[in-house]
Amino acid sequence: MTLSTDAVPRRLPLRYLPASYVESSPKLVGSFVAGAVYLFGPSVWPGAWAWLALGPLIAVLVFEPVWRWTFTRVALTPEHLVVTTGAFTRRQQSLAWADIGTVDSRQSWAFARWNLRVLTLSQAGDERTKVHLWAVDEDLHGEVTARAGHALGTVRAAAPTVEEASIQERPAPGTLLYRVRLTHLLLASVVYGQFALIGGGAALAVSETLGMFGADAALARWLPLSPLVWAVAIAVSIIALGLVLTVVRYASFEVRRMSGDRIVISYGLFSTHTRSVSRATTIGIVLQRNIVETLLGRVRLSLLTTDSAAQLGTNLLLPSLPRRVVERLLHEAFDEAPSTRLLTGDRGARAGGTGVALLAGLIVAAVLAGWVAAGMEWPPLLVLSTGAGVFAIAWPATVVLCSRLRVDAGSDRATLLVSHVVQRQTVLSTAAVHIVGTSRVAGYPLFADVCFYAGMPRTFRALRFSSAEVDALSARIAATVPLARTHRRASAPAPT
Amino acid sequence: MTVHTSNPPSGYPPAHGTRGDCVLAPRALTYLNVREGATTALVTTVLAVAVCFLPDPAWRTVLWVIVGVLAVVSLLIELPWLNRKQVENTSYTVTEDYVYITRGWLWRRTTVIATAQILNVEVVQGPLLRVFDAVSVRFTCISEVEGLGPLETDAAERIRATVLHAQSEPAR
Repeated sequence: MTLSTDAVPRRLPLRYLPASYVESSPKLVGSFVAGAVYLFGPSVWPGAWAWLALGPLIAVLVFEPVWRWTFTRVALTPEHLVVTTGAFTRRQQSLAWADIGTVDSRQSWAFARWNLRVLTLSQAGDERTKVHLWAVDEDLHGEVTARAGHALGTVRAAAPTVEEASIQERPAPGTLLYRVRLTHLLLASVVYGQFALIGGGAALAVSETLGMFGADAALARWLPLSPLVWAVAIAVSIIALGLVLTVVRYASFEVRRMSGDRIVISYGLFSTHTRSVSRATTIGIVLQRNIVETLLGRVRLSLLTTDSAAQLGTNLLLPSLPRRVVERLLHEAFDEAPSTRLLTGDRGARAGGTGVALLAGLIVAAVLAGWVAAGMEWPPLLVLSTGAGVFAIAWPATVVLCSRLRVDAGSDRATLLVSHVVQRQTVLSTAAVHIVGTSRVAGYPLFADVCFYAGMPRTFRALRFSSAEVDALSARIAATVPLARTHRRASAPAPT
Repeated sequence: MTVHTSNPPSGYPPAHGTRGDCVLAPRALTYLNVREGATTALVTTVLAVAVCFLPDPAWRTVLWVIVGVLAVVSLLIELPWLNRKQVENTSYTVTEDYVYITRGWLWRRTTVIATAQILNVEVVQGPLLRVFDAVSVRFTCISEVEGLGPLETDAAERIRATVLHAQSEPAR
C-alpha cells in the first residue's frame, strides 16, 4: 500500500513502549501472580486451566505495544491525517482536518512520565469513524490539534512531574465556565450512583484477591465480628472507596469556552482527559435529574454531539448543580436565554411526585407478577425472572407514555421531554433533525417521531405533542440548512 | 426565518395528515390486488398442504375449512376495500426542501424528511412491478428506509432528480 500523501509517515514515539508497559504493569503482575497461584495451588479452581484465559491476556499485554509501534505510521498532509495500521491487513484511515469534530486527549499516569498522550479524533459517526493515535509526543500533539482547529493550549515545560502534567493538560485561558468543587464532586458521585459502581467493582476485586490467597478466612479469624458488623463495614468501605475513586478520576473537572467557539472539558488527577468539542458537532444539550437530584433541587447538564450521547466521561458539562446555577451557566455558555421552559425553571415537586409514583407502580407490578408466578409454584429463579421481565417491559413502555415533544414558534430548537423516574430534557437544534413522523388512529394524533444522529441514529417518540408544533417542526427542518457534517459546509444556527 | 404554526405558506410541507400533491401510479390498485391475491393464494396453498400432514382426518377437515374461510374473507376485504383505501389515501410531495409522504386511512402515518438529509434514493423494480410498468422508490436516511410505490417510472425519475439536484447545490 502506498500513501497518497506528500508527508513523510512517522512512527509512534519509541518511548511509547516503556510507557505502555509501565501502564499495564499492574495487570501484568496481577495476571502472573494469579497464574502462579492457579498453577501451584492445587485446591484453587480451575487450577492450571486458568492459563487458557490468562495466557492470551498476558500475550496481548506483552505484544500489543510492540505490534502497534512496529506497524503504525502517522502522516500529516495539508488536507488529511493519515494513519496506517496492521501487519497482514494494512488499514489506512484518512481523516480530513475539516471533518474533525471532537478531539479527546488522554494522559495516563504512566504516559505523563514520558510526556506522551493518546489522541482520539472523531467526526460525525459511530466508533468505526474514530481515529486513534496510541501515543503522541508534545510536538505531534500540538501539530495535530492545531491543524484540526482544536488547539488545547497546553503550556510546554521541561521534565514535568505528574502534578505539573495534570496542570499542563488544562486548556489555556479561554473563558472558564465551570470548575468543580469537592462537595459538588462528592454529591454528584452519590446521586449518579458512581460510588456504588466504582466502589462495588473495587471492593469485589479486593474480595476476590483476598479469597484467592485464602486471606479472607484469616481475616475472619483475626477479626471475629458479627455478620451485621461485617456487612456495615463492607458497605462503608464500598461508599468510601467509590467516593475516593470518583474524586481521583474527576478531580479538577473544568469546562471552558475556547476560541473557535469550542467547548473544552478537562478532568483527572493522575490520569488526565481533555475533550474539545466544536460548535458544528454540538447538536443540542441535555438536562437531566433523577429523583434524588429533583428533591435536592439540582440538575446536570451535558452536550449532545454528533459523535456521542454519553454523559459522564464524555460530554458532561456540569455535575449536579443547583438549577439556578445551571440556568446562569447556560446563558453564559451559549450567549442566549433558552426560550423553551427548561428543567432549571421548575422546582420539580410535581416531577418528583410523578417519579416516585411511577417507580412505586413499576415495583408493585413486578412484585405482583412474581407473586402470581409463586402462586403457580414456579421455581424461585423463574419467579424472580417473571418479576424482572415485567419490570423490564413496563419501564420503556412507561417512558414513551411520559414523553412529550415541544416546538416553540420562532425558535430553531425542539424540546424532547421525558418526565419519568429520571426527568430528561433534550434541547435539540432543528437543523439536526432528519425525519419527523406522526401516526394517527381514526384522525386522532397518537404519537410523533423525531429522528436525529448522535453517535448512532436515534428516534425520540412522544405521545404528547401538538399537531401545529409538529407542522412547525416539519417546516423548520425543510427550510433550515442541515447541521454541517463537516466544517466544509456552512455552519448551522447554535442549538441554544 | 419564522416558523409557521397555522396557515403554512407555499413551499412548506403540508400539515401532517393532509394530502400531498402527487398520488400513486394509475395501475397501483390493480398491482396491489394482483400482489395480494397471489400472496393469499400462495399462503393458503402452503397452509393447506401443511394441514395434509396432520394424522387426524377430523382436524384436517376443520383446519382446511378455517384456512379456506380466512382466505376468502381476506380476499373479500382486502381486494375490493383495503387496497382501494390504501391507494386512495397514499400521497406525497417531493420538493428540493422536503419529502412529504402520508399513507393509511384508519392508521394514518405521515413522514417528513428534509431533502438535504436524504442519503440516497433507490428505484426498485421487481418482476411484478415490471409487468405493470411501475417502480417503487426508497429514500435511504440515517435510521430507516422510507418506501413509496408503486409509481410510474417518470414520476420516480422526477423524484430522484429533484432530490439529487437539491443535494448537489452548494450550502446556503
